[in-house]
Amino acid sequence: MSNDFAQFQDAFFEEAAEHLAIVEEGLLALEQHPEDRDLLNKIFRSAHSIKGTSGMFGFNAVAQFTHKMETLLDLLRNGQKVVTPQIADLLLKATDCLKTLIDASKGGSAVDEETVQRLTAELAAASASGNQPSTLTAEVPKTNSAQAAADHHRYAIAWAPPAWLFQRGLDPLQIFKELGNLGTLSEVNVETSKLPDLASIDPEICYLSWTLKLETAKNKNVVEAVFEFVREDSQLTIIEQSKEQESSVDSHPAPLTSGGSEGGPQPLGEILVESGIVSRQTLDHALAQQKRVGQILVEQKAATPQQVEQALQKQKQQESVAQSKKTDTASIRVDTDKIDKLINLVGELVITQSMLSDLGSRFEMRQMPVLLERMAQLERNTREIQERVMSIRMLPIGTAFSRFPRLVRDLSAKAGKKIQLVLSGEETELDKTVIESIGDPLTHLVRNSADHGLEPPEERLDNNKPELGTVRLNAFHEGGNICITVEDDGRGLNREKILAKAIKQGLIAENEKLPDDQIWALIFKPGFSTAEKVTDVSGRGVGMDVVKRNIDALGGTVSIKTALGKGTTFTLKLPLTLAIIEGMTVRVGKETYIVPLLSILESIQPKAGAIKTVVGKGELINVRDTYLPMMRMYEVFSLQPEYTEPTKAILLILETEGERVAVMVDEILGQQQVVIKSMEQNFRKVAGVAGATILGDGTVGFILDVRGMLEIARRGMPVAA
Amino acid sequence: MTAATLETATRELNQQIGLTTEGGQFLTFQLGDELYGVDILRVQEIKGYTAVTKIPNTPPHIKGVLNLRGTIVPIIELRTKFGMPTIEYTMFTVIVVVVIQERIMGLVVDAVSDVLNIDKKDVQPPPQFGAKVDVSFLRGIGKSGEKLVALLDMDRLLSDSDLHEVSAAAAA
Repeated sequence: MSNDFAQFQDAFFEEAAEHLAIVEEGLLALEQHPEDRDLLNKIFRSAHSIKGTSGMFGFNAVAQFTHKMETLLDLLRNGQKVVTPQIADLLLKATDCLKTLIDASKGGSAVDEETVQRLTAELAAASASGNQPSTLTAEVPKTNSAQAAADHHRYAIAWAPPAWLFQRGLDPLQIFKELGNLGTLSEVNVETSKLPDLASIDPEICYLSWTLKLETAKNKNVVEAVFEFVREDSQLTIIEQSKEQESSVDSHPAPLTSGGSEGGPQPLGEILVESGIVSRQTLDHALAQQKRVGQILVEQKAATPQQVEQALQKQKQQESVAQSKKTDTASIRVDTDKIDKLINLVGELVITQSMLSDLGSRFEMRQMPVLLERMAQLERNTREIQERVMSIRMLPIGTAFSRFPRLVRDLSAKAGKKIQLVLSGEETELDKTVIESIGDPLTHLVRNSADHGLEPPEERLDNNKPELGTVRLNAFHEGGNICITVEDDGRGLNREKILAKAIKQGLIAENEKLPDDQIWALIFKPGFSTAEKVTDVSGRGVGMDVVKRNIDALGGTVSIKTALGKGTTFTLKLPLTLAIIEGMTVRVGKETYIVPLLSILESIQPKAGAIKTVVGKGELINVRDTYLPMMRMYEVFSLQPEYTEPTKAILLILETEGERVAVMVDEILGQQQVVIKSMEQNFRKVAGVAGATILGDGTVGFILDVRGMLEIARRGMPVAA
Repeated sequence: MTAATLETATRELNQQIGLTTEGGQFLTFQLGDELYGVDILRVQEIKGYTAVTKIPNTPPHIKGVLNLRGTIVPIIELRTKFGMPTIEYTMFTVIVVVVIQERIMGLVVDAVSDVLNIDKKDVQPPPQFGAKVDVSFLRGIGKSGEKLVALLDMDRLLSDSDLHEVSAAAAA
């Protein structure tokens, strides 16, 4: 059972995260449209879900805190209060706090008690300040006897919960508690006639139903809302009574019709009582004697109380260990549609396989065309399955984008700028691991755009720009890659400033002539920042090099387009997945290397005389009137090449970090997708090698790390050759 | 047969052939005329030599990498590592796949011989030759009948520079 419970808990945390996202998203939208009742209802429902489920799982801190939020939300929903920026802000802060509370329940970070207390007080204050007496009752349910009689409603509630109540982890007690919070529950009667006997009882089925009496100041829909989660399949009647009616209905609780449960056989005790064999008292007495295993063992002297206690402790520990283990496993939600398609494909694969083995068992030469045809089919199937399996790991990038509306909102408030964030291409899918790792770089870029890129409102107005600055996030597919752009319509990069700074920091020489791309690339150098003042958001010069490093680590590239006074666009080009890359296989002597297709611009066979040397050694190749540095791969990697004469070999023009370089190889073998295998797992990182892969013949091939190779070449001598 | 009876049977057999179960079991292999031993629990498998892919810019005793059922396994040429002359590989040349510092690695050796039980009392500390001969990767010298076995300390076999990328500054 404990494991099942942990499983439910996981589901709760997952669900809570989703609800939190809805609340946050909703609150942000609410700021723009404070009048939107639907939005408020949506937020309220999510908050209510968190409260309800967290209470059931015993996360009382979460439940209590959410309850305060909910009270305020309810007032807003009923129109008793209006959404002001202050309230929205408070609710957003409360959402953050709720997040930490939920994390803490998961066994994660510690909770800042002070913040919780402060926000609880603020929420209560915000709810109370709205001079409706009914608000106060929600806060202090016990005082409602002091209320004016006019506010009193009496409800007779008959509730037969659905049979699946316990299976979904719902607890009727929680509902009664909540009803108690609304007012006074004067009577709770349980109807046990549906209970089967002990032998045939299914502990996961709810056989009980209840009749309740509630006195409250709330109106009927508030009471109904308590049952929101159990409404489905429930038999619920809520009748508002006048005081005169009360007594008559009171004595005859409405008979309840069975809600879904088959009403199974009666419990043994009940039958015994009914048939007059034993009296009700005897039965109750007998039932009271049922004991727990530990107690029985102690009584039989089979174990000491201490031993039982220890065993119980151990059981608890095991439970908590099992839980903490569980929370670490990453899960992924997959569209059932994707799974169904995959199953179909596997079915096809099995058919193809059986056709092939059938053919193989009695093969004759004349059946060759059939064999070839089936092999082709097998190849098609395999490729399609590969694509489908990869697509399971694909998530829409919207999940990574979703944090930005809040970020931009907070930034604009902090910096006193008016900023709108425009998102597009959220449905573009890419690998889960990539999504997880681009979160931070994107945050840096968005912050950078909002903080440095966009000018303060006065400056914008002076420059004939709209006061409202725009940051655009866009994602789209391009070739086998995904492109993400972060675009702002701010001041743009200042060439002179960057150059001056770079010269000051000694990154470039005083009179060095650099093309624009390379100047922009300077901002990715560690410690480089042109911001005149350091804000707590950015300007310390640590952000951009982190962006660069993270994107490089993912095998992607960052490029910058900017126009002074018009704005800046950062374009991230990323592989769709980290597990497989599209590569060009090249040969140097007997060795095969894979060059990531992403970094190849073109390949050429140089003409005699296209190569010039500088200072006797450094070689340059003329590619359409631009001289690019050339390096011989066999020299860098100390290999035995087939050709040492560039005119016989092939030159690959590669690009890394805005730099272009020509790399000499013997031959291009072809283009193929390769599965990346780790070198670090059993060995270590090798300079110039990004990873390994297994080639078609079963041998190992290395994936070239263009940047690393450049660095080896720059150092002059290869390491320990 | 249950595990207990299997164990008893093994012990009896060992006693019959004059082996005790005390002390460690070592897989022994040959490099030239010398006999070396590795703790049998560190050995994952033994496979025939197949061509490896050379890793660029690594010390000569790092022979290359091999595809071992989908994992990339580095191969170390023990002769080169110990400063012995290399020889032509024969049909006896094998790769002993071992676990070193949680990594799976292959050692190229001339030939494997027996699994020996070497009693604790038959193991003496590694001899000291001074700076001339590096024996830091030896755990001791074991005696088994007439045979002398150099027992390898797997965790010291490879130096840090073998297992961690040499930083640019250190290499320059």
